[in-house]
Amino acid sequence: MGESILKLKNVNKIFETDAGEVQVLKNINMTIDKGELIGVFGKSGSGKSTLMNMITGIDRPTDGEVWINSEPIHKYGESKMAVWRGSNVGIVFQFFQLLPMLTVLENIILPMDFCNKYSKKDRRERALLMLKKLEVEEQAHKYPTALSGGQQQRVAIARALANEPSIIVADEPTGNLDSKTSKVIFNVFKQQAKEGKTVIIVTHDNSLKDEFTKNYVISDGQIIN
Amino acid sequence: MNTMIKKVYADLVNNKSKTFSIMLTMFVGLMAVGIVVMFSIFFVPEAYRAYYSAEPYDALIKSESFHSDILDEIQNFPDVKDVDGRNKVLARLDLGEKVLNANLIVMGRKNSINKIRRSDGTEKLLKLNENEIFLERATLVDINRKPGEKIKVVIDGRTEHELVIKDIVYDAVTEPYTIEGDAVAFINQDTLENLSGDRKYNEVMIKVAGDNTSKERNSRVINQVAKFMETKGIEVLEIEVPEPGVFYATQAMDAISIIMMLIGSLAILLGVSLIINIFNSMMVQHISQIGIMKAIGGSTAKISAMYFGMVITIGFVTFLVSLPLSAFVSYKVCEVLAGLLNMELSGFSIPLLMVILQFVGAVIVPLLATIAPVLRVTRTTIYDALNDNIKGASFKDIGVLNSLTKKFKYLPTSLLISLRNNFRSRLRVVLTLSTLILSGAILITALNLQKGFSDTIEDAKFLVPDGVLTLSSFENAQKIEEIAKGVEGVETAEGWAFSQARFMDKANNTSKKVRILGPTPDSEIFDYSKAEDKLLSGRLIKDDSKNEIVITNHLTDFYPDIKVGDTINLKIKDKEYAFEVVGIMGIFGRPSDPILLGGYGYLSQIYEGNGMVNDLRFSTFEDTEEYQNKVADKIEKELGKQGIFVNERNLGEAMLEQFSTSSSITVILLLFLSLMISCVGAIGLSGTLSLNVLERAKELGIMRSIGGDNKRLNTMIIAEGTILVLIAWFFSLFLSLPLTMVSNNMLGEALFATPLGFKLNYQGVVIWLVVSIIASFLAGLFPCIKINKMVTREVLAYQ
Repeated sequence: MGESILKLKNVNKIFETDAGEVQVLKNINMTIDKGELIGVFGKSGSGKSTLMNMITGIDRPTDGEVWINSEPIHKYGESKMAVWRGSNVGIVFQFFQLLPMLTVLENIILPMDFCNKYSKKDRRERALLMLKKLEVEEQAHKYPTALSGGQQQRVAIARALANEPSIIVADEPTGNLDSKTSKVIFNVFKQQAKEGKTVIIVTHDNSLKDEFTKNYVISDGQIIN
Repeated sequence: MNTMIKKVYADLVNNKSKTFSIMLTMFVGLMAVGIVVMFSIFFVPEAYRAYYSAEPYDALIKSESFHSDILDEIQNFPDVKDVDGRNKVLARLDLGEKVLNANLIVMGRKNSINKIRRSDGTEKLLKLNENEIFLERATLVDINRKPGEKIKVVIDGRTEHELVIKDIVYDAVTEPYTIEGDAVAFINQDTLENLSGDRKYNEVMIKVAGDNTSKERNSRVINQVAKFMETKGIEVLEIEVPEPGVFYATQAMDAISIIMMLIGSLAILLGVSLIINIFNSMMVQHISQIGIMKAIGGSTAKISAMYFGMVITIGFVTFLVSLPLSAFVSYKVCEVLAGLLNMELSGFSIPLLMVILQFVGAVIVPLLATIAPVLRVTRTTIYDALNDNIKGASFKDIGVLNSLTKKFKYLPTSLLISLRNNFRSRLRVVLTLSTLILSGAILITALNLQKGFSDTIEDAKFLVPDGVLTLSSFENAQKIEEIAKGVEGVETAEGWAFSQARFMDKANNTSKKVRILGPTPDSEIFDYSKAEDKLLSGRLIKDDSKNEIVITNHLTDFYPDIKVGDTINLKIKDKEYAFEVVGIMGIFGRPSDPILLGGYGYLSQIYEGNGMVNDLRFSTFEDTEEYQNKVADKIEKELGKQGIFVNERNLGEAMLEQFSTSSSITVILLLFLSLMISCVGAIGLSGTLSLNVLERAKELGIMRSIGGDNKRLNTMIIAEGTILVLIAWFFSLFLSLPLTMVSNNMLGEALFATPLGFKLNYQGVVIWLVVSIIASFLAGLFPCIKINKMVTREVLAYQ
């Protein structure tokens, strides 16, 4: 058993809708260790994205607890959570979600600016290093719209890694890419896990199941496997 | 309810803030338009109605005294419709606490020309008996007396009479006390005889028969009358033929009208630009709904009609609120103006044209303005609409700005976002900036004008000392100076040569009354260096013993052909003298008798012999009217002990006050309108920032997800607004320069007869900067609250 980094205890999530209450997560318990490469599978509407929201602190459980690095993030408000997340969790979105008004380099510097984690000079150097590591350093001064989907996703990963978070959460990171680029991107995540990061990936692609150290399958808001 | 109408209603109700900001924008614009319309189509015609209802004279002759029988003969002239005579006597009203210069008008035989009415509007006047006086209503601002009470009238500085105030009357033709500075009062011939021992008239007023709208024709008729009077041995001193349709307030009203029209048009333009902004963004947000409606059978025409229905609904509701409110506020503004210009309004009413224009401004203009943004989106194909393919905020590389910002390597990324975000929607930034720039430029212009006015008035002090006492006789200059200097509070005193004279226009056989001043060569009161600055051409008088004269713009207004080097003839005390024009000065004010400057030595020789003067000027240690009045009282008392009497008293502060009244009206109006436009600007800025937040909610969510807390995101929004207002402030400063120049010329000419000197009101510039920054903070408040309430999960639409 490795050192556990993330714990979900009896997490339930209920949404209030005009049609009544909808329970999206039902009594979820989960423990993830440092350096694991986790796959989260499930059909559309199964609750996997809500589960990711719990892990990233984007949403809070109706009841239950979420502990990351021994911190009770279920107790944090939106604004405090934002700062905490910036330093501790790197998020990679399906549609990359780079900010269009910033260059590639500036997109990577932004979370460091937000969290004041490195000196101003170091932020720039570090961002360039990230880009080099992800083999997109030549795109540093371009705007995101000038990049291909694969390149944008690499930049998004670089941004997620900017503040050296211990956890990376990726929601369908290859869902919008061709199979060749998907493979490249997936390898980047694998490499991150090898380097000690905890990587949690939501995916539909069952062929990747064997690549993960642990898989969770969600159905109707419950972990069934 | 029809589902389409229901959707329109739901969209309006569910977007309360957007609906409200559109209505507020339109309301402010309509309010400005209301004031402009009310002024132009109600106030101006009302002013002319009041003026014409008093049957103003078409031409006037000032002459030596004559008996009333001459009027009967003039009445028989075929081209004369009506004739009346009157006498104007310069007097002073001694109120105890202060003394006012007054024009005592001896009423004619029938009150049919330049008719006066009772102040309650009654046409028929009360019978004015011997030793009774009518006070013109505008004088009541300074004369706190009621009918039945007595008032002391002083003639020639020494003859005092107590007259009973019979009634308060309204004279719509004579320039009122509030503008001219001399009180206007009326007496009958019996009273005149008691006051001056004279029963004669010295003015003939005529109404021309037939077409009286031509100045040339009116001139021909009055010249015939003048010739007739001369054949009767009555010397004609001056002929006055006013431009038909022009009276004392015409120029000021014209200037104010033009400026108000300009500002009103800008208010509408800015309102329209904001509505386009808001609709552009709203339509972009509705793109998916439009896609769905199209997918289930909605045609472009029907969907467009729904949105136009929304515009009409908003416009109509705004119209219903704005019409009565703006009519009421505009009427109140007109009432204030009417009070200042001594005019009478016939009562509150909403002119039909105002109803039509308000409707056009509230419904038709916004409808036209929203055609493009509505059709741009409703004509989108279903595929594009469902795929959100029209995004107003898509980012384009703005070459100059980005290469500039890229150079600053260590500029915080959040600042870069604020900077670049502003330029994502170019149409929006152009519309918002133009709103802010225009409102800033107008406000700075108004403050520059105010500075221009006050500096011009301050500047005029070189010619307007703290006090001027015109003596009823010529006295030894040294003697009166010593008397005055001995009075406590007098800083310095000088006796100047002063005389009324007539400029003889030989070519047209007419003349014009003028005032000639001869400041002492070593004067401490007359600032020669400032006078030098006021020269339009030529020079000041070098040798005061020669027959040189400096004329002013007030004379060239009447006789524009006079130039430096010409010889002019001035009749002083029944004798004509030739003067060489050595300079032309541009001085402010619109005195009825132009002022000329002559050599002290030469003039005092002409008048009564060397060293004899009748004009005592003094400066005091304090610059308040009350103080100057007290000092003048004391000087008069001391002069009286020596048998020297004062005919006329003019106080510097009181004279300057008269000028500042008319300039204040203009500045207040301008500030009021620019404030309204600034409100539109602030609403526009707030709207722009709110739209930015709405449109970029997802980006804000992303920033939250990578570490951006509320404080950082709020700072970004506030910075976005601040950057916009700073850019706008910078450009509004530049735009205010030509606007100030144009306004200086127009209003300076209209109010002071001379363009105002260009003044930049630095305080105003700083005030506008501070106000802008505060406004940007306030404008950012609502969007920031929105951000703080934003739930990251919802804005990311994560699941």
